[in-house]
Amino acid sequence: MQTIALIGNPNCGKTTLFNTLTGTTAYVGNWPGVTVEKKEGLVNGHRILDLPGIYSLSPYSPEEKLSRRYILDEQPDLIIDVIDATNLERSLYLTTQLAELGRPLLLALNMEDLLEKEGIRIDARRLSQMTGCPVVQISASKGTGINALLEEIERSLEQKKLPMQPLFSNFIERYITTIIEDDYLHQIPKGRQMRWAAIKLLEADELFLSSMPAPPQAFQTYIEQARKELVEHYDDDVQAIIIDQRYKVAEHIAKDCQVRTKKAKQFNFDNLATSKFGAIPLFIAIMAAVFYLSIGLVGGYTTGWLESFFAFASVHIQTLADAMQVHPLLSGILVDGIIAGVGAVLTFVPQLFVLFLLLSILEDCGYMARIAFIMDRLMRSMGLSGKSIIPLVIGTGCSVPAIMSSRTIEHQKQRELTVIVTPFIPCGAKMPVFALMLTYFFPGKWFIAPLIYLLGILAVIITGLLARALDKHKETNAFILELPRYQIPAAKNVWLQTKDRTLGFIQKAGTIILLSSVIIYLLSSYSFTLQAVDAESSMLAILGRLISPLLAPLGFGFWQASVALLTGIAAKESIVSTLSVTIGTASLGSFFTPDTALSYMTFILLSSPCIAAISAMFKELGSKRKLLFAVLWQTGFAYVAALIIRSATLLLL
Amino acid sequence: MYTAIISNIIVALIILLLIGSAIRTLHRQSKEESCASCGTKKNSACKGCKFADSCH
Amino acid sequence: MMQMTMDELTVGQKGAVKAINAPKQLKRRLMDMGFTKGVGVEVVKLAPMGDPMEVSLRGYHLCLRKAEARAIELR
Ligand SMILES: Nc1nc2c(ncn2[C@@H]2O[C@H](COP(=O)(O)OP(=O)(O)OP(=O)(O)O)[C@@H](O)[C@H]2O)c(=O)[nH]1
Ligand SMILES: [Mg+2]
Repeated sequence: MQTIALIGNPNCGKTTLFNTLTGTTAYVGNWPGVTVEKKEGLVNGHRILDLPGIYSLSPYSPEEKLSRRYILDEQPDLIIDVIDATNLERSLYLTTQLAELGRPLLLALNMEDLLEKEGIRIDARRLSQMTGCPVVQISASKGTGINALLEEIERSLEQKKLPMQPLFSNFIERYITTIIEDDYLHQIPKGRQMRWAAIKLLEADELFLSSMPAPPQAFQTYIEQARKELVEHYDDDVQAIIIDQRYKVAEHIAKDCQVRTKKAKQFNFDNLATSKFGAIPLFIAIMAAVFYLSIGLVGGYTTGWLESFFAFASVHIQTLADAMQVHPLLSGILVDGIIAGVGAVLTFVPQLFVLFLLLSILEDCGYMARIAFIMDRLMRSMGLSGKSIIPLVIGTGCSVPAIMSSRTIEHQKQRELTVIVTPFIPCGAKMPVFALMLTYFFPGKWFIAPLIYLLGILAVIITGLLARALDKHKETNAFILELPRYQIPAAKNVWLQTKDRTLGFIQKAGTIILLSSVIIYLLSSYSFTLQAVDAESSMLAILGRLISPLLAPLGFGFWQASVALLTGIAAKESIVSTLSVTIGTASLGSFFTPDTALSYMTFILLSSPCIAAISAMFKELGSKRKLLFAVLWQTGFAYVAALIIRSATLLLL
Repeated sequence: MYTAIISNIIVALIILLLIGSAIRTLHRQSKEESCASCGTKKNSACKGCKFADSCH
Repeated sequence: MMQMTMDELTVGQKGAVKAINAPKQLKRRLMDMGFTKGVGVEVVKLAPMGDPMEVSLRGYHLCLRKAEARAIELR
């Protein structure tokens, strides 16, 4: 089986192409750095790999390192260089580096559909002549040119033709030629190109030098002499000279192959989105609208309907089972366990569907990178980076992809801080608990829901400020982010993402929630001697009472609440299903009071996330010690915050 | 009498079926090459993460 | 003549890169993004709090902080 790698600048459409070719639903979004993992698929019986986007082969953040390591070490049989055709020049800069790797190269000119609107014409034949690579014009999202691309892939895999090497100015080429002729160059790692090695030698690339035996004295002197002459001639360091030369090549090719006509200036949304006074209010308004539409508007109708549907179903199934003399254990598992637990979670599917839909529209329209742009200043004062806002927005859907997306933050401390604070933003799975509590204890008090989000944001700010205050070095680092174009979200992308996430939620209800509901039901119906007993003396009650004293100061020191929190570790939706199995959603009032409900919600909001998010945190933090710290910090913060909220409400009410 | 036995069996089967399919799906998911499957245990990482050295 | 750096440009002003004065890593990073000698840049916008800035170069838009823009010397 042959291997094909998709390489290209961030946000050029690699993942979209990957999805089109393999029929999968990998994560697509309109900002640089969506893909942070390698993803494999099959196309025509070949292995195809989607990789994080890179601007050059010298990487800066962990996900870029992955791409570089892959192309250099794994030697794919074909590299497809995906190029955003509206951004030819900068894309070709990467191409000049890829061409030196000694692998067959195929240029896929993506976003063909935008060329006309942008006033750009590209001569693909000429481009192919100048680079020595086959060139195919495609549109990954519209699906045009895909067949031609598939044909070209087969042909390239068969012919294994190498691309032409980009040539620099004569002054440099002289040295390169001399170096290539030296015997020392025969010791380069297998599969590497001589020219590539010669350039690396001139650049004094540390990684490369350490992989080579020490050069003979005479050769070493020559290299040093060459470096010195280059520096003198160009008045710059060698690495900069090489980059400069590569861009010259890219400019030259781009100039020859494309015609750009000036496009007319038009009104754009950006004037509003990043305006001086409107930008931040607009961001807040957009987020508020997302929640209002999904939780408030849609949820207001559908939750009620679905609740009565499940209530209706369980009553009738119970009556039917009783009439048929089904054993109470069996009917109990089915009705009071599965239907109560899974049903309680499924009632929230419609609002989450709307939430996911709106979020993926937001992700695909190009606004995300602008949020990073407008919020950077604020985030920086909290020891975070503008890029930290992207995980925080994604986190309103699910913490797992949010935590992963923090990988694009170059600075390690900021990245780790972002990972620790992302779970403070309530994810979709926590929504059911809030909705349940709010409609029961605070009907008509619409302003409490946004306050919960505000509390999550406050937790982010406090943690950030503390971390910044404690950080002795106060180092700042670069914040360099490409701002993608705005676009009408591609219907197909939005639909695929929304469907994927909603199905994921439903699937969780059918798996983790179902199993935990059954277990909770059984544990709450039997004693340790396996006698059918009253819930109060059941195994679950006894287990729950082991930890409930700890939670008593927060006002929910009864075992049902503790057990629900524990099952919440498996998945946050479990909290609702466990409460509805052990207490029954209708009788919440005999256990909680408004103040304990508030403190319960606060604790759930801020305490450590579900196991999936914890392992995502572990992956990004990379150490057990840091993970332990993160989880303890979150849970400790939650405890104190819940305590404060409860005391405050007791004082006020 | 018979109806009681049969309906008991039916309900038991339904429950077993649901639990069985839940476990099977979970099992399949954990083996899939998605990152949600990466646990904290050694060697539980999916290929992508192993590759990125981000699971330990 | 006084040296001019990119952070001093106001919105709508243009310039051409003369040199990059930054530590090695940042310099390479900026050059990878296309800030090479002679390339034309234009400041498109400033973020609401005056920092970071949005610039356009080589036909695309990039945002960077003033601290980084200060490393880019113009002529
Ligand atoms: N108009 C148009 N948009 C496209 C096309 N292909 C991709 N896009 C859009 O470009 C954006 C980026 O697509 P992705 O597939 O996530 O890009 P990527 O290269 O995987 O990006 P990273 O993972 O960040 O490196 C998305 O908003 C897509 O909808 C295309 O052919 N035409
Ligand atoms: Mg991608």
